[in-house]
Amino acid sequence: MQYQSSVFRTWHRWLGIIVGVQMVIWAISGAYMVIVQLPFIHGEHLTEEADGEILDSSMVNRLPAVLDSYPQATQIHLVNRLVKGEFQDFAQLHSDTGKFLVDLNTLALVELTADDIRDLAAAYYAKGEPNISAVEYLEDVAPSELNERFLPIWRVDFKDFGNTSLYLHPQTGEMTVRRHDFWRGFDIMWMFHIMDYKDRVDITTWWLRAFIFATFAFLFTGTVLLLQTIWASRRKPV
Amino acid sequence: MKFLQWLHRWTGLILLIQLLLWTVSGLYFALVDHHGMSGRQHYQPLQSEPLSQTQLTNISASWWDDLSGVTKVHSYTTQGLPRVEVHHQDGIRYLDGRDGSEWQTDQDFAQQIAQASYSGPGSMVRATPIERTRELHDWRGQGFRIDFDDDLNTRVYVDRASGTVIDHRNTPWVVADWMFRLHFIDYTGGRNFNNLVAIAFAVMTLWFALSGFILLVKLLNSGEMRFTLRKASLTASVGEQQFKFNDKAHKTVLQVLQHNDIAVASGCGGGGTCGFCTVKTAPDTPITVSDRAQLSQAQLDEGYRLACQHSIETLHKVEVPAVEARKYALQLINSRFITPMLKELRFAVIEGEGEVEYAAGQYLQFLIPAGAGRSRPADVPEEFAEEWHAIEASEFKHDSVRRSYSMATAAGGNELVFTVRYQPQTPGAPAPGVGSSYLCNLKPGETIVAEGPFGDFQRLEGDERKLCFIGGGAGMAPLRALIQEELQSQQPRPMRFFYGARNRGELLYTDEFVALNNLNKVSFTAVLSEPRKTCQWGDAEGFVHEVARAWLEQQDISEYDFYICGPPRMLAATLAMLKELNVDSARVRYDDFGN
Repeated sequence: MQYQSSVFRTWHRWLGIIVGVQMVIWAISGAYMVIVQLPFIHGEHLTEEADGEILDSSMVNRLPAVLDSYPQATQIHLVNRLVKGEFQDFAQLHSDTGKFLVDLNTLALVELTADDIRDLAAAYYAKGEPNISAVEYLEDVAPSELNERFLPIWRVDFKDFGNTSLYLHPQTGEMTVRRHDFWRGFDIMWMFHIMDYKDRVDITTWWLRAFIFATFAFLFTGTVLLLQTIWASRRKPV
Repeated sequence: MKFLQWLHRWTGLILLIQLLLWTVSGLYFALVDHHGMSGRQHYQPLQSEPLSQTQLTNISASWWDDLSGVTKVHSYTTQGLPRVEVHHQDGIRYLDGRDGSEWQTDQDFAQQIAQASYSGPGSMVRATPIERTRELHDWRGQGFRIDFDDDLNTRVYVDRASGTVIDHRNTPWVVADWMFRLHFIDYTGGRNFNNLVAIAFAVMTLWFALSGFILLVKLLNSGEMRFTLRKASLTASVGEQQFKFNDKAHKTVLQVLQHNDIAVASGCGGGGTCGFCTVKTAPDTPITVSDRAQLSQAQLDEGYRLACQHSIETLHKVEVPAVEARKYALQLINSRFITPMLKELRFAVIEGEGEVEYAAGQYLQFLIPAGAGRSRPADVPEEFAEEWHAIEASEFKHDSVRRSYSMATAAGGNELVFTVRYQPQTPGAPAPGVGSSYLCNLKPGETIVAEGPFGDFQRLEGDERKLCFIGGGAGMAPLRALIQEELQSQQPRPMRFFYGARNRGELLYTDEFVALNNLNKVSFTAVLSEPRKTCQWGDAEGFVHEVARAWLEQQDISEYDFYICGPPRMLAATLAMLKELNVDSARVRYDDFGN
């Protein structure tokens, strides 16, 4: 049998120029995402629970009065949270427009300060001595690592291996989002993997689809060459 | 480079299927998008419901005073029912907000929240109590599966302990789930891509992609992948024909030749790894790495190069070797002496290659490897021992050589048959015939590589022509093939065959031709030049060309085509004889095996 050379090899090489680089990028980004464990990426090791125990269960009797003052609430939580340097019981209210803390004694809305956020972040932080480098209130502009729907939010940066950033809810002080360099790396790998270089969410771009189709052709030509060469080397004279 | 090619090829073979699976599932993801794979096409979040004063007043701390480490008490309403969750150090306790009893999800409630979470056009058809399901990999417990009769076969899963909707599932979700299994190489359904198999494949793929990438960069650097619209020309001589082709300058010689239907053998499709596409050109042509790997120094010095390794921009003039030639691995089936000095060797083409397609009269070149030869075969039969008496057993070293032998049968059989005449050491020669010694010593089961077929010693056309064969000694082989091929044709033409040997013992296949003679298929005359007494020969004696001449002088010589093959002196004498008879040289074909 004779092989018409070159058609498959030519195609494989030229497709290689177009698809090959993306194949390498897929391989590198895929390997990173596969090798680095996902819970670690999610930063589950970075934080721990920081709410205190509710010791005075009679506080539950204050809830009807809270609802009287805030009738729009659809859910009510009794919590024990670190505010103004000490753990206190609060009512955390959820309504259709948001969530907030209410002082159980005064029934006043609790406003968290930068110091409160700093204390809470230090309490959430689980990687040893918290070394906070910045506390910042983000109102309008989200960094690329944060979805805009979380705004406004407090960002607390730690000076540690991985440059941890914790994002805390401005009204309740709850741990909302965790970021560190391995997550940021993962996000870049994800961006390269799905080829959405802007928002890193769209997996249906026409160019991604086009590259996948080209990859089929690349694989096909490669397979033909593979079979040809293995076939040829089997009957190659010694 | 070779190592990278090797690595690229074999990892490619291992990864082939998974690469395909990744691409297929990747395409699915890119076409369907997150939403289409979520199972939540008909999902809506539950509407939040207002709290009532009563439900808050009802809450009593006595409901959870047996729990320790309480961090949160959560009150809300679902489907008009007050509910309380108490988060404690061991988990969550779900309570009925009316009386503090343990929360109970009955089927009716499950159906209500399933319906509330459903925005599709279908209606509920069935509720089934379940304890686990393949569709919720991490969920265990008590629950309900609630089916809707919509286009997607939506089912809503409800957890009894918490009284919440766990998730929606549907047919597209099942497809997507399989795609995730393929993409993540996790067939447990857990969608965990951090598993060992996936890691192994990922690392191997990284090697694979990088080796391909490096190969590509090397190709680009070497200029092999230059693309140009400029034209260049290639002059190719094939046998006695000359061709001139114009094509893009970046194309390889192999591409241009094959594009123009000049047959060039190629096993690897231009990868520089099989070494079949050899062409001859100027000896000062640059030598590529692949050239060096596939060709010998002697070949390189003579100007042989691989056609796939040079563009027509650098190579303008090539000689293309005999067409259709290919290498075959042959396995010896049978080897037997049919005269004292001549063996018949029967070979099979191994590795399922099928048959060698050749025309009768053509030959193969045996690639005799370098090694130690022996002057005497081990299997000389008793009856021929006398002729071998004078030949001493000895060993000699030899280089690799090529030796040509004609097929002794017409094509179409399962075997390739050759006759090999043993060439004893002549005075002054360093050793006996290398090729014949090697082949005569080959044992059944052993293999050898041969290349071919070559040669234009083939039948001439013309329905009205008659065929005259004149041969001697081992020249029998191609003539026998030609005669067989003629006999296999639809209307065999008249044939006359003169065959000479020194004595009766050296006649080949004579019984066969005497039989054909008696059937009036071939008119056959055997001629002995040195008959012995023991031959008891009553037939023609003398030189075969003389006997043939005597007969031809009585014939209309213009009716005949001539096919001649034999030892050099016999061949020369026969050609001279035909010339004297004024035979048109276009009517004469001969095979000069020059030994």
